[in-house]
Amino acid sequence: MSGRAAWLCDEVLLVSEPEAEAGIVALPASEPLGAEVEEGLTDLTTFLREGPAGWDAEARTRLLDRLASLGGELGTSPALSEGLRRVRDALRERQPLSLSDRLGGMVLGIERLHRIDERSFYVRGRAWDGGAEITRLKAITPEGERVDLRGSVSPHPAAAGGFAGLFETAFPTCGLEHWVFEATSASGRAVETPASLSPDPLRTIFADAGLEFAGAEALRERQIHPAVARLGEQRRSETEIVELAGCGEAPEAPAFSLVIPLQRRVDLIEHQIAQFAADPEIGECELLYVLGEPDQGDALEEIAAELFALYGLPLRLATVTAPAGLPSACRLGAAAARAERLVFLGSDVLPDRPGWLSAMAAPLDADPLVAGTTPKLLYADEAIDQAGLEYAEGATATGGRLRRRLRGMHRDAAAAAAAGPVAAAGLACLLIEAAALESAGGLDGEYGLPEYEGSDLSRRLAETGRQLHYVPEAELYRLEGLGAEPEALAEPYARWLHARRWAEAPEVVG
Amino acid sequence: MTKRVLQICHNHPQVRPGGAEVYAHELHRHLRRGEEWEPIFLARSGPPHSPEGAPHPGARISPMEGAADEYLLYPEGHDFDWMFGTMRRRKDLYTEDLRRFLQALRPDVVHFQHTLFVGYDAIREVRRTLPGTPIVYTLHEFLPICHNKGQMVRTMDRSLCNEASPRRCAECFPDVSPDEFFLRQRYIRAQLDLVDLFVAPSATLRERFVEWGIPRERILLEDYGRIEAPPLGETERPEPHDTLGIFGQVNPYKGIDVLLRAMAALGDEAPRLRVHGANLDLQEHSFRDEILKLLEATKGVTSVGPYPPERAGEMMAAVDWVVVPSVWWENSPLVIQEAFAAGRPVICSDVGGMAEKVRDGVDGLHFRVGDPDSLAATIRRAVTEPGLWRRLREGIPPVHSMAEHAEVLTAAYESLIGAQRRAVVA
Repeated sequence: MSGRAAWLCDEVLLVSEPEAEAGIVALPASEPLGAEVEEGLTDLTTFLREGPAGWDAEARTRLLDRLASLGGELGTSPALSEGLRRVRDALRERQPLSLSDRLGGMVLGIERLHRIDERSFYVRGRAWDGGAEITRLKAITPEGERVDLRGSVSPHPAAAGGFAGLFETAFPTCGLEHWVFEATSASGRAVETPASLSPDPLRTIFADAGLEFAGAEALRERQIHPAVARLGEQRRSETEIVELAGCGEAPEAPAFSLVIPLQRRVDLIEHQIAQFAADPEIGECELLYVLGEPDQGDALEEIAAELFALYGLPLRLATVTAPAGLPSACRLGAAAARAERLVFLGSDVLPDRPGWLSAMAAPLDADPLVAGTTPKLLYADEAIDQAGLEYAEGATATGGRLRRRLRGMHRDAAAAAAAGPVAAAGLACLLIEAAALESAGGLDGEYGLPEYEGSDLSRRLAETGRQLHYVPEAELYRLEGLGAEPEALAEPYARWLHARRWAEAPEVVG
Repeated sequence: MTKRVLQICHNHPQVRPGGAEVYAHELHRHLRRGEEWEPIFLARSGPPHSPEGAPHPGARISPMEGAADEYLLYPEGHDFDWMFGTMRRRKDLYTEDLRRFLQALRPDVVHFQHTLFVGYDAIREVRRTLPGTPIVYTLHEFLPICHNKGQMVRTMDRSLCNEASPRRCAECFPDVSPDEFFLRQRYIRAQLDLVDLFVAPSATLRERFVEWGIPRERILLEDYGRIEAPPLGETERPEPHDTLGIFGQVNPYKGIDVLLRAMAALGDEAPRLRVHGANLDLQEHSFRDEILKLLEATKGVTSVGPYPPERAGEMMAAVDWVVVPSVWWENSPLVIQEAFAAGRPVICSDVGGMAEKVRDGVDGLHFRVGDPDSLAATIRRAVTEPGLWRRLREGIPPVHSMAEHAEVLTAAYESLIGAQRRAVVA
């Protein structure tokens, strides 16, 4: 077999080298081929059949382990991944496929497998052999790397033998399909099952974060929190703001920058502008719409140009390089805004009448301790959506649930008329000094929910000695549900994270 | 100096006749006869009212068959959004076509007769292009308030609606959320806030819009005026007064089904009924089939079909009673004025603009809205009670003429122009 060679992919050549530790070496395509190698070139299937397919299991496993590291050495690519997958499938030891537990056999099922980053994954599945201990649980990447999951994953209550958790590969992998999971039990039985990557990791992770069972805290602390943190870091590093073609010239020194994240319903911009047009104060502002879904950029530009022609209100438009949630769009928009005072405003929020901006700014002018203000937000039926935020259990956030203050009361309720400090404010409508925002560390982005992001910011502002005030004279309608994704799924994790961060926080006004 | 008033209407009566457009065009023709005002009439055309498209590529506004003071607007390539009452997404109909038209004409007053199929954004464009020009808007029904074709009739049972709210509107349209209806309300209000003066032809309509949020002082209560029809000669009719007529649009809100059921309930006592209806062909199949079946099954009914507006008096003179059985509130039905002009008492539903314009027992008779039995009893009384027809005929008031109406309107125009000038000077 000496001198045989085959292309693993366009970039890598496998050459048999009996003297080498694994018997085969991988050469990058950039290296010149010797005449002997050229003469020995064959296709990959023949190369494997004539060579390593005849080796013993241990030697084949060593070869696969060696090849699985190629992505780390040469850089991963879909072509390399596919070549390695072919080698893996030709050489690996196979176990019986897992069948339904109704047939009485050992069960191994992967319900969800999500990529967190190129080397970490979140899995939810089940390995069960009638109560016998699972002694081995491994994931095999498409490139052939074998990852031991025992010690990584945590129990999951969905079914007997359920597990979920974060695991890491030693080498990057880019295969979407052709994953294999293997399990062995103390009874000596072993099975395997194929798996593919699923979309939308946060949906699975947030759902798991809301589970309540004996091991829930361990699942959240060891699995979910690191996974969400990595996704957040990745999103922050990958997501940038991109200015789109704007419309008209905003004032040179705007009094306020209205940072308005747009999601899904770009048509809401028309409704907001129809209301803004009646308010002379808006003419002194910079209107910055930040689109959280880059694929709608063209539609936004088109609508904005039409609306500018009709209403004459200058608009700045931006989008992001990757889909971003509402808090992330706010964070990116804040960095791009020019005014010294920012207003985070939901695209589903409509002012009841002109004058709300100056009313919200007045407490900042009057008291240097006030860093930001929040208005009275209303439902369409004149009930209060929120008059700032508060914490359900006493005056601290410890384990408590963030609550919308005076929610459900009529807008004219006496309690809603009292201006003053509030424990926290969400991002649906928050006026804040840009400098105060920066000194408090900006928006975090990890919660995913505007109210918890706002609450976290409020706590950090409080740590710097600044306050948030509620301004009842400023009344705006919030048509929640028109402008953003339903948020209920993310709430348990946000609540847990908030309590984790602020469990020891001192009492705040509220 | 002659002042120019631009009327904008959702349709031209020569394209397809309808009450509001007939009235608006009559006002235009009346103003044309005087020297103080130069009227321009801009009516929307194209589907669904007309299959015709714009005659000149690239020009969405063109003269109406060569007339110098009448134009048609063709919103080709724009989709009218019924929910929000305007062209969504593409605004170039306003910011290019209408803007050029306004800049070329520079009217002293812009009077919107209707924004259906034109769009509320047209008001915004007028304000943007002609910031100092007064805007007048005539309210013909409840369209800004009610998504159900402006009828304020509940969709689930056709009962009359007394109050619109996002929640109630969503009950009528379960596929639309209350928040969407709130958006609709705010959006339309934002455009109507640019109007300087509204004209309400009935107190019924005015009060509903005041409740909706338009300040009372911005609404002029002024009924439609009508161009005096040529003398009809002797309008007296001999006994027995047993011929009924129904005139105008045939749609689910005009109550022709109530009248036909009342006729059926009267059996052999049923008088003769002449049906002068228009636009049944535009209605939904189910309604059309229902009415055609009723017409066929009801004794004593003669279907006459549509009639040209100028012959309304002649048609009405051929009946004894004009029936207005609408199951919506109505505003100020022109058919009532036409009936009165022809010397015919009116039998009408006891609600809204009908009950306001027809006085029960004075110039007509009321029956319980939507109730065929109540209408049958009223018809029986009308055709059998001796002297009733003559007494009610004698109670008919003079019809509000177009000359009187135009005088009120132009005085309002002048007042608005004067106020605008004073504002500029100040």
